[in-house]
Amino acid sequence: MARHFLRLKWALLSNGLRRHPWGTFNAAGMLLLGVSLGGLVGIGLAQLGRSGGDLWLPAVFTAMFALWLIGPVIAFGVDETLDPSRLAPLPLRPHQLVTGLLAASTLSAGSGASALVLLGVLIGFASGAATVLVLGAVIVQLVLCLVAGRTLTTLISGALGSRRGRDLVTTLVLLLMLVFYGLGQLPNLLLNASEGPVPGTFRVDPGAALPILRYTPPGQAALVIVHARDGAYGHAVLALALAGLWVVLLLAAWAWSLGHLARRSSQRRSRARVRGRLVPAAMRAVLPSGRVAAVAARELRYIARHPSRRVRLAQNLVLIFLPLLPLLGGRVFDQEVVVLAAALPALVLLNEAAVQFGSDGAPLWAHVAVPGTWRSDIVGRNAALFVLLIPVTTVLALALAALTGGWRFVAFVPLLTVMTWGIGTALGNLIAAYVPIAVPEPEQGNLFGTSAWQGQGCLLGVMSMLALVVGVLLSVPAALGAWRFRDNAPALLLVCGAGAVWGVAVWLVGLAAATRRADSERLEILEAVTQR
Amino acid sequence: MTSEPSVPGPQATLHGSDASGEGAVVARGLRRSFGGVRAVDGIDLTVPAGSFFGLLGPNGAGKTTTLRMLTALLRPDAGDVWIESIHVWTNPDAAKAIIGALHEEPRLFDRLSGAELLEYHGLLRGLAPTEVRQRADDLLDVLDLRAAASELVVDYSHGMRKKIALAVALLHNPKVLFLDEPFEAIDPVSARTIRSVLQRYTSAGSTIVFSSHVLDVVERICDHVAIVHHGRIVVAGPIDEVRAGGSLEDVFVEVVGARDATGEELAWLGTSSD
Repeated sequence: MARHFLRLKWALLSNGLRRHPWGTFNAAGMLLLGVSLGGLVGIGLAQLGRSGGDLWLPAVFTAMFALWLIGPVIAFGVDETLDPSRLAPLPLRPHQLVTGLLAASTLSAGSGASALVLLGVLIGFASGAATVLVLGAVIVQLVLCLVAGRTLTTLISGALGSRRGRDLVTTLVLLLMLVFYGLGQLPNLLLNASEGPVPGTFRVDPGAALPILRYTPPGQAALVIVHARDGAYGHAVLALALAGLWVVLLLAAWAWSLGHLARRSSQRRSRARVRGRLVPAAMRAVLPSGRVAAVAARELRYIARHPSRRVRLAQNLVLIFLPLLPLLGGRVFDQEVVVLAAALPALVLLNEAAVQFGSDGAPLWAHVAVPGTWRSDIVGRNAALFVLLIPVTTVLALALAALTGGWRFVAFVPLLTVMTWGIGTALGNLIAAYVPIAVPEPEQGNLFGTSAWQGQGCLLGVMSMLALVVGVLLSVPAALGAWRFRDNAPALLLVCGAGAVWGVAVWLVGLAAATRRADSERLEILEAVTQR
Repeated sequence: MTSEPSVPGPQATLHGSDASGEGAVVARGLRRSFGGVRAVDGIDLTVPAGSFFGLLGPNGAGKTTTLRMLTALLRPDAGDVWIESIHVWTNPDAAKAIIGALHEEPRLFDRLSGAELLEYHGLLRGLAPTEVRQRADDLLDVLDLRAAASELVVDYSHGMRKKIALAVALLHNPKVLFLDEPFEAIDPVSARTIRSVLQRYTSAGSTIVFSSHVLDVVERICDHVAIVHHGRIVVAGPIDEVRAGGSLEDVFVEVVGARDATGEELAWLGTSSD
């Protein structure tokens, strides 16, 4: 069974690479990254072991375990062997599925990186009588990671069958992302919270984390090595037995969830009912034509109803609220800078504009099949983003004002938001028209974005980063003007007003160029965004 | 009606010889390759105005590719298409205004409800909102989708998706309708209703180009047929002439070539595996 699944995984991987040229680039990049990171951490651990240090080991094992929990969720939909619901119709017993899927897990960049890390542990910590115990701990840690990741994806596979389940999974993963962002800021926050914010004066004591981490499954595996190194072989054997027990429990949970999934003959789907008209009266009154209003209304409906659109928007919102983190850490900027910064994250939404055709996918044919220019369509999509930005920037500006006391600057935020919206959408429109790419369908792909893009996400990421740099440069004159006249309200109003006009002008220029391209290449764009 | 079996079309290039006045849909020398594979290899086609025209062919014959080129959704490598005397590639907007299309796998904005989807397509085509609502209501009633009008299309069954896609295709009252396997997955009652709607549509002078594998349906409703094989039209004409007193199935099997497999090769099938 293991051999069959290994061959299946290999066939899926190689077919995927052949089908998507960018996928080869993506896979090579992932492999290089995995080998580099795994190799570096492995070398570091080997040196740590030889120098007699071991305090970081439980933290490293726990971090590795956490990555294995989240990684498969992010890659869900790319690796078809991760989704057991696809295998449910086959007459396989849970233990056969467990064996096969576990074997398939070993064929990935992640497992290669993990093997390098654990090889470093083995080289650094194995010596004399402790060798057998260290080897056992390393094997248990690897199996723990593989089984935990697979158990979670099996549970998720069941949950994704319903709209509510998808929302739940989405929320959980976004919370995890926020936690990760927060952890990244932790050293900063602690430094700022300490009285002497001199870089380098703050030391994190890894020993303080050890008492907590030793009770986690990977912590037990790390403790085996710590005890074996100290010559406490009895404690090491006990820790190994406990870690092994965790493996058995996780395997049982996995087998149970696989069996449960296979028994579910059909997934019940709740049918949502919606009332009212596509284009609300308020939108008809504001937007210029029926087509613009229709596209804007449809975009907003899609963002509200489509799981992957919600996730992408939420990811962007996470980015938007990142400026708050330094404030929470006590590094409070001047009032005017913080409040005016509320307008800058609007640039981030260029990511949404950049995939406006790809988000439609195959249904974009409806736009190709009707006469007329695509100008109205692009304007409608941009208008929908503007409607979204209004509450987001308002909340952000008010939150920042509450934290800094800079209430008098809140009124200027909308003007600067118009500028950043204009610049961001102009750049996003150009990317959409010149580099159209297909966005994975949520039911076929995953909910969480880039890894399901078969390498195209890499191209989009590079383009978006470049566009963000250009966007920031285009925003600099108004930002400098606002800084210069921060104490002069009439002049500040003039500068912000000029910024808004500048943003609209950039938007019009970008719109004209994107429309010209989209109108002449609409068949090619349709072909590019339609997945086969 | 023209057909040039086994003879490649004229050495047509885009915007080549003008054959615009000959029928509601005229194609000359249509060719299209994907990679190194030629999917359509010189199709010449004339569909008379007001006809119910059946486009037949085995799987992979090139029917869907031909329909995509006829509806201006796929640019041909060579060849020309006129819809009601309008050249599709030199005046695409005018051509698109009079075309309606239902594709084999309807790709719809399925996070909209059925009613919202019709409103969306109507507004995209520039129809007045009140007109859109009136027509959408009529279509939802006739196609028996009224009860599901406020449900999201993503929750529709395959047959319901076909019906809402047909409603989308009919919404702007096109002069020429292209239908790719319209009766697939449709229940018999709905199929009868749709046949009636379409026959009424052609009797008013409009034209339908209709692709199907179901020869029985084609025989019942089409007045003209063409059989596509290996990207070329091998037989075309009024259905009675094509049948020549026999059945359409016989003609189809004859021109496409009967397969050698009889089922004897699968001797194990149906026997006990114990």
